[in-house]
Formats: sequence, structure tokens, C-alpha cells
Amino acid sequence: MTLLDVTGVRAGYGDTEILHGVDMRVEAGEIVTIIGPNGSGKSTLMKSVVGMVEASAGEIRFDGQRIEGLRADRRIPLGLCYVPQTENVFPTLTITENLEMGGFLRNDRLDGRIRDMFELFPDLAEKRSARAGSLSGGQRQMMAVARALMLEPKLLLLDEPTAGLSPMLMEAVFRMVRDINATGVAVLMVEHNAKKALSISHRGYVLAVGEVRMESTGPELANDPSVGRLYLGSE
Amino acid sequence: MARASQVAQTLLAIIFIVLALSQIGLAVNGIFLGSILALGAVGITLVFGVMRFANIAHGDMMTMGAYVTFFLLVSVLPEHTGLGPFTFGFPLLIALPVSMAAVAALAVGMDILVFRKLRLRRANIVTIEIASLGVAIAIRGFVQMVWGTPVRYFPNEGRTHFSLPADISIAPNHLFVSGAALVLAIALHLLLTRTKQGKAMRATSDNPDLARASGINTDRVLLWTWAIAGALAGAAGVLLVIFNATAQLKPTMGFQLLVPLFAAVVVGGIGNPYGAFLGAMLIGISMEVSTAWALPTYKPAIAFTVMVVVLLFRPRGILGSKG
Amino acid sequence: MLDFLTAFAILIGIYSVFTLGLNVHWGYTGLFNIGVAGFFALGAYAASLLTIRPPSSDQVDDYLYAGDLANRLEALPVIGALDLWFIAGLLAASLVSAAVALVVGTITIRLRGDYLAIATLGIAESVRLVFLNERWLGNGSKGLYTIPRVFDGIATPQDYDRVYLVVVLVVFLALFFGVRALVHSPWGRVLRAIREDEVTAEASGKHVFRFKLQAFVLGAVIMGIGGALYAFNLRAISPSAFTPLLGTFIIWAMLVVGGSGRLYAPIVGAFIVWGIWSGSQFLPDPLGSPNVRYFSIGVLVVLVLVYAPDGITPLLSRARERWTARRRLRRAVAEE
Repeated sequence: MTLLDVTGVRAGYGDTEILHGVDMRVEAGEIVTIIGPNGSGKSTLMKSVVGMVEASAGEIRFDGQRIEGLRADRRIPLGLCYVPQTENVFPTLTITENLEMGGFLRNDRLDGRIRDMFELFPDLAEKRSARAGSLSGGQRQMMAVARALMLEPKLLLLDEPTAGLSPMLMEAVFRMVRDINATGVAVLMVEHNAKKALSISHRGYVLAVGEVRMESTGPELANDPSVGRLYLGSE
Repeated sequence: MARASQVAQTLLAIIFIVLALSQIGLAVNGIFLGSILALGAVGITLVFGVMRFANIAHGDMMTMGAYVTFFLLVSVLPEHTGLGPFTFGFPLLIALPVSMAAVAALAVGMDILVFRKLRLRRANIVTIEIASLGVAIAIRGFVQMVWGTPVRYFPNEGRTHFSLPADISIAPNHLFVSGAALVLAIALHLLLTRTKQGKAMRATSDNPDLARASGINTDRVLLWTWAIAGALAGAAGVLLVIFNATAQLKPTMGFQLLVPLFAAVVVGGIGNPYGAFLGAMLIGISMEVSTAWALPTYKPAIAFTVMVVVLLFRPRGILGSKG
Repeated sequence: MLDFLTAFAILIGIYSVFTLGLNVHWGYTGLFNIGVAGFFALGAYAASLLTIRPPSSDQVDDYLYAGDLANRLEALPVIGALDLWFIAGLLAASLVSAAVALVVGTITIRLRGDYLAIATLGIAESVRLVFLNERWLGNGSKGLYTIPRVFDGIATPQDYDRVYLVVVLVVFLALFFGVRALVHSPWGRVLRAIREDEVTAEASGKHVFRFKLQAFVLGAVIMGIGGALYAFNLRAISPSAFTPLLGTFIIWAMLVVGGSGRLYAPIVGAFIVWGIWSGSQFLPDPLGSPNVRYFSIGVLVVLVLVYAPDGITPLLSRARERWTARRRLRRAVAEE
């Protein structure tokens, strides 16, 4: 079943159009990775899916429903949660409060879900009363993902979750992505660390100058020499 | 370099404490003044937190609160003064919350009629700030049209001061002022840390984009913030009148407090409500203690000087974290 | 009536000078100065204190002021139509404003915009409080009221105001063309670049801080000159003229209504706002009261910001274009 279906989306900031008609989809339960050089529009694509950038043309369907006209806070309850690349926690709120804000739209008691998150991320449990601003880079990324999982989304959008992390922490993040996916949550991520990300992905897209250039299964893209030369750097 | 700055900051703190202790009577007065400033400054800082602009109309919102109470005391409520040791009567206890509600409504109305329109047009922050200057002048003009320019007075009767050791004498009204301010401060603290709406306010102030991405309706958070800031400003205006020995009001009373209010906000760290309280106390005490040596009319200049000195060492204020 | 119009025109000219200064700050550079009154007061007091004479004996004898320079120095000569005391007054106003702007700017321009606003408001209030409280300096709340008629040498008392109007216009036009030349110069282009996008301007190697400081000082000097013109016009100044409302807000209203960043905004804005402000006193009573004026000017500013963010000037030029276009159309129709 197709969870997210993006067709012909154009979007940008002010008069500058960054996406020139993008087609892309995510099936239920998939991990999908978008790679591409800087300025290719990866983050803009994520933002237009969650509603932080308005699409000027095209269609975005989530779970069969058209969402491109909805405000961001109306899209979230449908089951898609977003983790921005930077500034992805509330720094003066405590860890627990951050999780409560993640679950803002839930009307039940949050304690159970918060306990689940602390089980999934034991590091956070230890610091539950600390301000999120005091967390280290890796913990902060865990915090950001935990906040987004509070609503039990069907699709989790991650914008460069490993940016600025040490290789060891990167491994941990990718392991976390797999674990989350194993619980049935589909993941759409933008990654700089493309080879690693593609290797755990079901499918991948290569974005350049606001258009999709290639689409294939994750491992296939990871091993494609032309992709490697163009976008994967010298790894 | 960092070491020298720390030494200088410690020295300044010591000088401040020594001066305050040497004029303990004035310093106590400064705490009372500080508690009024705090109610105003917290409102400015809360609005700044979610909208990123310093509301110049805040002083005149305080004026409005004072005049609404004046109207209620003189024209609506029964005449009564001298409640317990205070110069005012029980009607004030009714007028105070009504004024808070009225100014809260005014603040929400301002946002809907003016600031939201500018926001939707993505107007420059300073344009919004100038609009708030326009709103400030319009509110003052309204107050003057309705109540005139001459000084007015709350109904009041003279009362003796409480005498304490060390030459401290305290007017009972001042205790009421700081008591009321303390109650409001605690209520605000509980609201911000214990309720979902309050936490959403802090979250929006921290990171409005992420708040929206968490499903928080930030437009509604904004209106809540205006309402709370307005209610606190209304209370501050009423308390400012009671703080004055002769209970006088004039149309410029709020605007004249703008420099000390902004100084308190900036000294504490703009956007941080706890910083605003701290800043207000620091500014209030500095202003009162300075009258031992300088003319009382220089008080706003003293507030401004303290702000400049603090900014020289801490460009983001004492508790400031945001850029 | 003619006298009233002359006085009205002089004040529009003087307010156009202030608005021109504010346009340099906010319109061209994006510096948020809400302490115009401070530079206004500094200019007015500097020019007055330099040129003031002691009161004649029948006036109160506790009239105090600092300096008394005009008496100690040999009186400066009048050269042609130029009274050098007038020139000296304008120079003193410029220098004092420039010095204060340099100090304030150096401390606050690096900070974010709101802080500059608060700093300028604080400075303006402090300046006013100093002149109010330090009686030895400027006679306290009564202010200075023996400022000389600097053009007595070339104008009869009946003609004085008309001569002064010409002087104000000459000064304004000189400043106006000076600013226009600067705005079109490379320096002005850098200012606009800073206003649009500070980060990019910095990245392209421009020393943003220095440019902003230069613009801040220039605007302050223009405001100081406006203050001097104001003092020589009324020949009496007191701290009550420099309140945030009369000294700052009304000038902001003029700039906003005229359209900030536009060349002709100062004249258009000063004309409209001063017209409403001083014209409304002739309205029948409830409307003519000064309190109604405050309210309506405040509302006017908000309405312009919300509904005509570029001010009135572009509306006027658009109306003119539409008018000429329609006339051309009508002529074309008539020809067919």
C-alpha cells in the first residue's frame, strides 16, 4: 500500500523555485533514502511534505488523502512526524517536557508512551529532568527522534539524522532507524552519508537541481558507480 | 580576557550589593518597584519569545489597566476606602481582576486587528515594532480623550507606615503590591511549567517551527500569550497607582516606565520570563537606591545605565541564552 | 492667514529635515532609532547655548545657562546674507549630535536591532532628563527663551518669518540633494545591500559595522541640524518639546506615511502628518482637542502600515500614472 505519494510537486521560497516537479513515493513499512548534492532540494522536499514549505503545484497524498493544502499542524495528526536536521529539540524544556510536546496532539495520558521512549532510549531516561539544550550531539538526535515518535506515526521523516556525529554514533543512529522500522514505521530520510543509508534502505532516490534523476532499490544505488562518482564522494 | 571580565562582573555585583545594603530602606522600596516592573517586563518578554518583537505598546497597556480600574472605582462600584491598613477599599479587589481581563482582551484585539495582519504579510519585525508604537500612541490618545490629561486619583485615605528596625518604614500598600505581584508570578510559573498550554508557550518560544511540526497550533499559542501578557500589564498598571503615595494616575504613566521595563527585560535576558523577574528586581533596586545620591527624576536614566553596563559584559543579559 | 501659512511651512520644512535624517537611519540603512528626540534636543540646545544672550534686566534674574560664549567672543560678522552665528549654531548642533551618535553607535550597532531601539530611546530620555534637571545648563524646565533672531541684520521684524522660511528651505534642499547624491553613490548602494541582506553584504567583504555607523552618524547630524533650525525658529526651547511623542513619534509617523526608503517621503509625510496635526486644531471642539489628534495619528500610522506598507508616496505616483494613462486613452479615443 502506498503511504506517501508525491506527484509533480513544485515548491520554493519566495520567488525562487527549488523543486521543479518531483515524483516520489513511500510504501508502508519501507525505508526510503533521498540523496543528492547540496542545494538539490532534499530538505525542501521534506519540508513540503510536512507543510513547512508550501507546494505551488502538484499533489501530495498521505494514506490516500490529499494533504498539500493543509497547515503543518493539521498534517501531523494524520501520522507523519518530522525531525529537522538542526534545531530539532526545545532547548529550554526538559527531556520529559520535550516528549510531552511531541505528544501534544494525544488526548490520552502520555505516561505510557513516554515510558516506551525511555525504554527505547535508555540514555534519555537517565536525564529526564535535564534541559534538552544540555544534551550531547548524539543524545540530542535521539531526543529529536523520540519526540517525533511520541505520536506513533506511520511515517517518520528524518532530515540528515547523522549530520555532525562521530562514526560510532552514526552506526547507532542507523541501527535505531532499523529498529524503528522493525516496529512497522515507514522511514523517509535525507542523508549525506549516502552509502551507509542506502545500504539499509529498501529504495532510494537521487535528487539533483530540484528533479529526481534516479530511482532504484537501496543496495543497487549504493553500488551504482555513476551515483558513486557523482554523489557519494570518495568513500 | 575572560578572567578579567569575570573579575569585573564580580566586582560590579559586590558594588551593587554594598550600595543596596548601605541604603537598605531604599533597597526595600526598590523591591516593591521591582515587583511592578516584573509584571510588565514578563509580559514584554513572553510576547517577544513567541513573536520576536519588543512591544512598545506595553507601557500604555498598563496605563489602560489603571484607567479601567479608575473608571470602575469612581463610576460603577460602591464607594469605600481604607480596607484594613490599606488606603484603598474592597472595590479595588473587584476592579483589579476586571481590569486584567479588559487589558487581556485589548491585547488579543491588538493582535487580531494589527499584528496578525502584518505577520501574514511577512512584514519586517521592525515594521511590526513601529506598528506597536502607533498602537501605543493611539491607546494614550484614547485614554486622554475619555479621561482627559489632568492627573486623577483613585479614591483613597491616608494611612500610617509600618516601622521596622534599621530605619525601614513600609507603606501597607507596598506590601499589597508585592504580595499581589508574587501571587501572579507564582500563578504564571505554575502555568508555564504544569499546564499543557503553558508548556506549548515555552516550546513555541524555543522553536516555533518545531512546535508547528509537533502539531501545536502556534496561532492559538500567540493569542494565549497576548492574553497573559495583557492581564499582567493590566495588573501592573493598577499596582503602579497604588504604589504611589497619593494614588495618582496620568496618561503618560505607562509610557514613562518603558525604559525601565525594557532595561529589565534586556538585563534579564530577552525572551526569558525568569530573567525578566531578576532584571526587574535589579533595575527596581538600582533606581530606588540611586535616589540617595541623584535626583529622583533621573531614575529612568539610571535604569538605562545599568542596562548598558550589563550589556557590555553580557550581551545576552544575565540569564539570556537565545541569539 | 499668510503669517499662519508661513509658520506652517517653516515647521513642515523643519520636520522634513528630521524625517530626512530618520530616512537615512531606517529607510536606507535599517537602523531602528526611536530616540529621534535625543538628537533633536541635542541640536536645539547646542545651537541655543552657543548663540544665546543674557536676558534683559526686566526678565527674571534666576535665568541660568552654561557658556555665555556669544558675549565673550566678539560677535561674528554678517557676510552677505549669511549670519555667521547661525552657521556656527548649525555646526555646533552637527558636532554634538555626531559625537553622541558615534559613542552610542559604537556600543549598540553591533547588537541586534531591538537593542539599538531601546538604547536610542534610553539616550533620548536621558538627554531630556539632563536638560530638565541640570538647571545651570539650560534653565531647567522653563528652558531657554532668549535665543537671538539671527537674521535681524538682513530682515525687518515683519519679514523675519518669510526670510526664515527661505533659509529653512535652502538648508533642507542642501541636505536633501546631499542625501540624494549619497544614496545614488556606491556608498548608498552598499547601505541598501546591508538593509536587504546583512549576511550577504558582510560575506561580500563589506565592513558592515563601519557603514552602519557612518549612516547612523550622518542621520544624527541631520537631526541635530533640524534641532538647530527648530530652536532658531521658535527662539524658545524647553525639555517638554522633546518628549518621545512630539520629538520622536510624530517624525516616525511622517516617515511611515510618506513611505520609508523613498526619496520624497520626508516632504510628503511631513506635509500630510503636520497638516493633520496642526490643521485639526481648527475642527469643532471634540474633534479639535489635542487628545483626538494623538489618537488619530496613532491610528493613521497603524492603518498605513497594515494597508499601505510602502506609504502614501507610491500611491500618489501610481495615481498620477493612472491619471496620465487615462488622459492618453481618452485622447486616443477622441482621435479615433
